[in-house]
Amino acid sequence: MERGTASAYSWVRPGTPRFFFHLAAWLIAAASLFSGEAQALPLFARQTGQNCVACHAGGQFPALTPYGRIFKLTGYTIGVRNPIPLSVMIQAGMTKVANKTNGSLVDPNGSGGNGAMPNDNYPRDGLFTVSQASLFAGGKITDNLGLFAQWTLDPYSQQNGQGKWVSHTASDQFDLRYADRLINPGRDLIVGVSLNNNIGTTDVWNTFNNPFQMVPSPIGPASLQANVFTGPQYSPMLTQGNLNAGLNAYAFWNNTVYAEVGLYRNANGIYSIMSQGVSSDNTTTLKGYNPYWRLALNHDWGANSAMIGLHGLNARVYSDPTNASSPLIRNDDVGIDGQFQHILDPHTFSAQFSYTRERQRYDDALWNPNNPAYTGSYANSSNTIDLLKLNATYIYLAKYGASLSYVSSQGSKDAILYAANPITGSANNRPGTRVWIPEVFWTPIQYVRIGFQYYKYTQFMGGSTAYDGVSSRSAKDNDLTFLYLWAAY
Amino acid sequence: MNARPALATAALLLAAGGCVNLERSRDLGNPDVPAATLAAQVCSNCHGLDGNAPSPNFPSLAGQQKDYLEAQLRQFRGHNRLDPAGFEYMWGLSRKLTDAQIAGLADYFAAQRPRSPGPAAPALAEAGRRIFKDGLPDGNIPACATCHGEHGEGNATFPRLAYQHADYLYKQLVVFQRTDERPEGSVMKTIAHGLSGADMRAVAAYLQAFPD
Ligand code: HEC
Repeated sequence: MERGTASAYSWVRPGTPRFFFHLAAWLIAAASLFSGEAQALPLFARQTGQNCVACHAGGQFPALTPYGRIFKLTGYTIGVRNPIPLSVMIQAGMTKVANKTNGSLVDPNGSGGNGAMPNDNYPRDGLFTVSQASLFAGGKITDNLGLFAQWTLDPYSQQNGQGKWVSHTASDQFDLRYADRLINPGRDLIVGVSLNNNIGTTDVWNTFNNPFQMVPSPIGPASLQANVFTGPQYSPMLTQGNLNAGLNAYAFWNNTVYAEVGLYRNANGIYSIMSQGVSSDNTTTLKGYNPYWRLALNHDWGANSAMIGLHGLNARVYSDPTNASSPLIRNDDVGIDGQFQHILDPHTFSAQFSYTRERQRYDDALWNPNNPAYTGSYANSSNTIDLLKLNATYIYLAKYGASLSYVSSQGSKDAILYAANPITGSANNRPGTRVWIPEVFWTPIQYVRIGFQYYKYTQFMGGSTAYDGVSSRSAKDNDLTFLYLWAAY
Repeated sequence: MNARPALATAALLLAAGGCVNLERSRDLGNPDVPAATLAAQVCSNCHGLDGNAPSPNFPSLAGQQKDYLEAQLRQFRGHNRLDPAGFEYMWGLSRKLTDAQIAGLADYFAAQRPRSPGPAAPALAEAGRRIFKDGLPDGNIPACATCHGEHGEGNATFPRLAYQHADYLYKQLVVFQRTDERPEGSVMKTIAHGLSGADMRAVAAYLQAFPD
């Protein structure tokens, strides 16, 4: 999601004194952890004293094992309260796009006629880049209360007027839970409430609001990354990193039936702790209280675990996130998702799918040329988006892994929303994009992961060749290679 | 902006979460939490509420010998048991348990009724039965039953093996054979040394089904 204008306190340019201040703060936080305990494990692992594999399938964040799901649903309260409830995480990598000359934003044919560098569309392409550093806090607070909170520093968040990169620290994930478990030989009932900042943050199967690749490709036009949706018309169920405030209640009965309902609103005012560092331009997105729901059937047998679920959201989104009286977009999302896991040391196999259909209905002023306040944003009064994600992963010894994902997002034709435009536009006014993502990774020690992903686009914005309507750019020109390093402590 | 609902929610969460809830606590650092509570709120996640573990990654504890359970928990707590699954899962959970909690947990699981996780292929079970009842005279391997009991029920610090998951048993036999990660099992090291992979699979399959 494009982060709006800079606000004085949250933007820091790399190399400035203020940047080093932030960096020092991060390092101090990290160092204080090392002095804490001899065992080098992140936050929750220190609380339970267990290895990552106990809660994460094959030891790989974020996929959860059956036990990891219970750990989260019981409010992060299993274990011994941690004296230093902090963890740090860093992601770095190098992205390379297959062809960055054809279809420059400035010069569609890449001749550079007006002197602009086609490179500008692919900042930091082929350069090693620290894409994010995160600080986590939380864990067990009392017998029933626990927290999971993440703040993230993005060193290359945005370029300023002079083309210099500015970093940005913001609240990332927040999940404060109260949970209780009523268990006896006759029944097992986990009930809880969560105050959280993101649709999907509460979910324990990580299917519908999560890219199936653990480390998303870090830098480049957002639309070149698989299933990243930008623009106000998409609901927070499809977009990622939307910082809303949600109050959810959930129940998990006999490890079988899961039900959750939540209401989401803007994370401003008293809720702004959940959106610290996010300029208010980006938090005024939802009107009123918007219902979210999720139902799932779970079954564990032997070394296997399977889930089939439904998810949905009805949201009213402002077309202009800076203006609470701007025309509205109504999102009705409903989807089906599932997961299968087979975990038997030394093998971990998992398969996931998620399919979400979103219907967007626009206020009259957004699409009707006869409306005096006509904005010209959409050609239709409503559009649909269908997002399908598939993944299969195999991990050996919690160390070596390979996965294959497929993502398809298809939608209705809209001549304004999907107009011809270099790189990100569409010749046939359709958003259809299909990508295959093979990945291999290696986890030499449980808190370091090195991986390689390849994004193979077979369709991009409705076509495979000359798809953007202004250049001869092909879908395959957008193929990405991505080498990354992930580490947490 | 009306902040009252949010404030009320936050206050409610904090107030409700503020009190200690000994009956349903998952606190592994509080000596006052009863063993039965820990068994239900924490151990049951992997070992089952009735001690019959649903997943073969984890041992069933139902009907296990009390002395053996206590000895193992102390070994996890004291970091004497070094097998990967042992330290990855059990060191941390046991680190603050008191002797009284350990005794209570051992009592709880010893009192549960064990169930077979599933049958074994007849040929495999028959080969396993012979090893269990007669040992391997050629390989100088004593019958497992001499220490683990005619019915695989165990005795004091000789663990119960009947109705244990075959995958789990096999993994332990490999640990005994190839490593010194379970120092209390030195007697098992000699025994496991003489077993082939196929022998281990057979005896493990027989023990899981334990037809007679
Ligand atoms: C001389 C006595 C003796 C004999 C004979 C014996 N065991 Fe054991 N076994 C033990 C002891 C003692 C332990 C507990 C080791 C420990 O405390 O770590 C044990 C532990 C085990 C365990 C680990 C159980 C668990 O829950 O972790 C397995 C599996 C096992 N034995 C299988 C066998 C098999 C199969 C045979 C026959 C081939 C056999 N044992 C014969 C004494 C014996």
